Amino acid sequence: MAVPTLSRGERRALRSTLVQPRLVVAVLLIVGAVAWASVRGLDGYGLTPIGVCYTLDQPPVLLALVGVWLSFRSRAR
Amino acid sequence: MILPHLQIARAHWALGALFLAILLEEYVPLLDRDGRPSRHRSLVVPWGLMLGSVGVWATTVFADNVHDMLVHTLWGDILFAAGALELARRRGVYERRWLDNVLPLAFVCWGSLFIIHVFMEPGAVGGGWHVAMGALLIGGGILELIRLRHPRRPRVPLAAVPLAGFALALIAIPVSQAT
Repeated sequence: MAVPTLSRGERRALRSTLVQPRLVVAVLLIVGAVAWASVRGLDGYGLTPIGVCYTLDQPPVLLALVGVWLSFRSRAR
Repeated sequence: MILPHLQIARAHWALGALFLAILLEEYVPLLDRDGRPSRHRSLVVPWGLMLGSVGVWATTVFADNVHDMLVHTLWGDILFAAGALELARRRGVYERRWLDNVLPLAFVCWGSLFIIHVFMEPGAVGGGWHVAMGALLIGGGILELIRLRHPRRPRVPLAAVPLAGFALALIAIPVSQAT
């Protein structure tokens, strides 16, 4: 039985799907944010508009937001 | 009107996160379906720089000493100028080779202003951190200037490391000041 071999281009395409640098960095940021939040803790400031801003404007939350945004920007176009 | 430390820290966290997003967008490559880094001229970068300049300029209003007012105004000016030039280049309305140097030179200028800030106010809290953060920005800018002149450019620029260090310091250091 013949073993299917991938061409150089196909291998490269597979690698880019599996290891997108932006996705790697995004995962690192989110993991770091979760670790930071578990050590430092997060504060809640209520559901008023300014309260939501304050809740989001905490270092671990900001790191996680950057990570989520970067993973969104890691989709091949 | 002088803001309490926690509000100042919040502004720094938000600007640090914005800077981190800008540099990751610019320097972490996006691989296309063939696995090659795709050439991208993201408009997120210039708009992010100009948005950051508004935040830095706001500090001029709330700063409690003239050094902070002057240095933050100049930071805002450089951010806005760099953002405007990058926007023109990425929209294709102004194409010159020297525009490649805009971002790295802006990093060097911001870093120099960090160190000038310490010279203007040597007794201020966090002087050592300001020098370290300025050095990270200057180092990142110089590494990027060298990379631009190198015929074989690495996939992930080395400048991303000190620049990410600067952004993370901008997010993390005010935490200790605020708590």
